[in-house]
Amino acid sequence: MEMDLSYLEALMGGAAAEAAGATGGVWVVSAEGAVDDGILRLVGKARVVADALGSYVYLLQSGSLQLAGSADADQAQAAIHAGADNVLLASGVPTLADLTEFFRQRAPQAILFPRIPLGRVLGPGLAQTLGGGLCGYAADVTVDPIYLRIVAHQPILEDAARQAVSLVATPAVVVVDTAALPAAFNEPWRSGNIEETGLVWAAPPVYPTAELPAAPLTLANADVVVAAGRGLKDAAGFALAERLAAALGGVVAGDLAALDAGWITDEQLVGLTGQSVAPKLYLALGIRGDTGHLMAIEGARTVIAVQPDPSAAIVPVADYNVLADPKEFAGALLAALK
Amino acid sequence: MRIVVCVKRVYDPKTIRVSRSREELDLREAVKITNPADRYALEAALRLREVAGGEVIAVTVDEPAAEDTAHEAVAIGADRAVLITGPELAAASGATITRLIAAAVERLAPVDLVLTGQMGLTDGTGSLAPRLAAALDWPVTLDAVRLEPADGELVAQTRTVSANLASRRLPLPAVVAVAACPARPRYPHPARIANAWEPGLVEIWSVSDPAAGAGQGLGLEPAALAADTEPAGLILGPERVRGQVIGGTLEEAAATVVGLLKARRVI
Repeated sequence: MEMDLSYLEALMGGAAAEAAGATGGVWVVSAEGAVDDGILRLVGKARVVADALGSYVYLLQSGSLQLAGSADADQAQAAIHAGADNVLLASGVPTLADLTEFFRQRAPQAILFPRIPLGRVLGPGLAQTLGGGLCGYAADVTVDPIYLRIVAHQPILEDAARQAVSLVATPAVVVVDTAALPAAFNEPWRSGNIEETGLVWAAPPVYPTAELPAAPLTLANADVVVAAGRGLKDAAGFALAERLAAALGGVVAGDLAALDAGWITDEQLVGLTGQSVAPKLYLALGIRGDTGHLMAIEGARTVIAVQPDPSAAIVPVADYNVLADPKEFAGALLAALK
Repeated sequence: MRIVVCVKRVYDPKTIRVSRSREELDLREAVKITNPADRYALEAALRLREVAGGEVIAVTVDEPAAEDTAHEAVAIGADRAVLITGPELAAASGATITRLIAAAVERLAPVDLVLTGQMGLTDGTGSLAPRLAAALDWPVTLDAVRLEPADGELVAQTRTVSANLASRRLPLPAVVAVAACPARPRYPHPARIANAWEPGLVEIWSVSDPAAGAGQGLGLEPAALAADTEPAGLILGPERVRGQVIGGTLEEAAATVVGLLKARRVI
């Protein structure tokens, strides 16, 4: 007579019985090129997840890789130091069908992809073919301690908040933005297996490329806006603002005072009579902040204001204030950025 | 060339509020709009039709209120639209929606090309195009900025990580996710807006209702509609604190600001 496991399964969230011959485990798929820092971060995250699940970390490394080359052996070793228990090496780039067959035999608990073009294609495709749960864009991965499910943190509203998504179906497939993960582990005491799978997948396709004409940076699409105001005093001060904008990869703008001084054109005016902006960073140099100007920068994610007066209108609106002469501070910031 | 464009509605991010006390999104005043990314896909389809001829069909999977979105697609230029709807959709997962669209594509056969937007505006992950490609077993490419027909195939110019253009030849049929690109979505002509509500331009298909009439139900089993993910709460970062003052000498303040910029990934 077979034992009734239903109560146990209810308790364990359905994970009591694992399929026969399954290796389970938390997998990281690096299917394109070398083991870079992003992959190592992802392996570290997989380590944390696997520890919470009581499972192992596998890295599937393919690409134009040969173990014979010492550099590749070093890479596999780096992955082990970053937390992998097993590194599986294959050559070539897998298609979706290849990966589906590969993982059908291994019944993984979770598969993590880096958010590179290949990962963005293979991750959702694999979730569809294997019938797993998917988070196609995650900034973090954790484990639900009660149900032992993978929980992906998906940035929403341009990362203003993160929606936690509990992946019910297995395998849990997560495409992770590795830039958002903490630094990779480097723990030389870790040991692991390096295994040649002998799998040979198709050679990576090569597409003819062409130079993309860079879209001109404007107030509307720039991530950084450096705005100049009366406090910069003269054209030399405004030149500092321009240099800062160039150093930060942004554009220069200004308030009405800058327009009156002839430093900027109408298109660069931020304010009620000019444009509203919503950059990641708005750096206001020598701007006290009239109502129209403050309304126009409402959408900015971070506002840093540099001007000497603690009672200026911009002080309570800006996230950070530097109460100093904007010209001197711009020089110091330029020096610090070098 | 018969092109299917997947369109959907998303919440307008300007109308969503984040409730910190309840740790959830406050959607009471939220308004749904057509996903801007999908309008780029529709624009790409219309431009392809101008070159290669054929038909553009917009497909959306949503509640009945989304019929407006289907009409809007027709007003912008689609030849017709299909709304797939049903009460079962409330808990439908991404896998289910993919299968519904795949079933619709098979019913609309012969379809040469399926276009999707790159990503849902509010909470998108950009997984529909690769999922559809897996379900249909068609080739897929993401980040396309320009599509050209070339003797039975499609040349897709895609944006690469290094911000270059890669030119990729795709055999048809194929699935392509269209990125925001220089080809700005067009606005509907007023006359087309008026005509978009004429009967017959928007078909409404039921998800699983076999009694929906000949060819009107997609016949998906209720078991296939089970959710494979469930929401597990909202994670909010630290609350924005305004009016902080960075003290110290000029050099110290500059170093602090550089640290802030690094933490925010500006530099």
